[in-house]
Amino acid sequence: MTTQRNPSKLRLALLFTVTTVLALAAGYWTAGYLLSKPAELADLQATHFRTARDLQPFELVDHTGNAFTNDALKGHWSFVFFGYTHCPDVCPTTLSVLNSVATRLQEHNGEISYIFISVDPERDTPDKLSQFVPYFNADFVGVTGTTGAIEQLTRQLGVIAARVEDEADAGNYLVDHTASILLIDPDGRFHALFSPPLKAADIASDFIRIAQAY
Amino acid sequence: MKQTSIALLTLLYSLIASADSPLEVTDPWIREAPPGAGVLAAYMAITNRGVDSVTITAITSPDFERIELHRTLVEDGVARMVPVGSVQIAAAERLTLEPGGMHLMLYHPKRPLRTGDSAVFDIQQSDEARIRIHVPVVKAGVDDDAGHHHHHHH
Repeated sequence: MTTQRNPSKLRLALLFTVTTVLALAAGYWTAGYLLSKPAELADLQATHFRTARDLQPFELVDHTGNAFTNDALKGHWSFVFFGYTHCPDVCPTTLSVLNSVATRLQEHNGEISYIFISVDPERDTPDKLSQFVPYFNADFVGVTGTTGAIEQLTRQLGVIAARVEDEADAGNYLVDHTASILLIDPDGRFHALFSPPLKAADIASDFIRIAQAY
Repeated sequence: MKQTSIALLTLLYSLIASADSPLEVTDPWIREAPPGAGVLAAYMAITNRGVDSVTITAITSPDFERIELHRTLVEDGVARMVPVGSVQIAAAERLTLEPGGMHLMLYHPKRPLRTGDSAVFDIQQSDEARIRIHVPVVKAGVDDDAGHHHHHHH
């Protein structure tokens, strides 16, 4: 670069370099901003979002038949798990883990809701959920709704639910679904995510630290 | 007393493989499900005590419409259940069915099954041999972690 036979080309290269550096710096700063945590949340098992995400309005129904909207997620923390009642392994196991979390967080009773939202609204009526969800803990809430309303909620939360036909039984199907537990804050925003393997002790201790930092 | 002897009998049935099968089933249990559940899950360890590998082709039960062997896979945070047709257990190997892993899907129980009940399973091998086991229904307790259950073998 000691000879400058083509100054305009050089200027272009310089401009390009500066732009690239700026873009990288901006990206780095943004990523750092989004992913950095306050010191007290540095070593959580949970994925904790620096900026909690607002939820778009949704309208579902709980297992007693009452409307379940954004307001049902406000004024308290909520652990939310997506599953379905025709799921005999992962869903009962996760609900048992949540029951264990509830036992560990007993002194926070009243500040926390535990919510099971169906990804199989076709089979999971409020009546069906009223038999299934309270079996694990009488305070747990089952939620279902129209297929469209459930999809609208799962999409904005990044929750996956995919129907898979059962090859052995034409009338039956399975649903692949997100195995993580979501944490919604008292402002009704998606605040943190607990991913498998799910351990009640870790979830409970992470929750206490997240709630204290809130 | 009666309950104790039933429990003992169940234990004996589960521990002792039939004479013509090298398979030994230990710690079998059906997860008690909420009332009205159409699908349940069962877990157990199956050990091949023989010198040849054994293929399990089917597991049937008069207490359920149908039983399938499934494996739960969690990939990128998404849980999937993958049906497993037949399964081969090599000599001296153990197949462990446990929560969050391989399990038996029990479709449509023909009678309500609560803790304390048990169901009969027939494990069919490719060589026509089969073993019959009695599987107790257990309510998975307040677990510390997924993948473990607390129940007693007294």
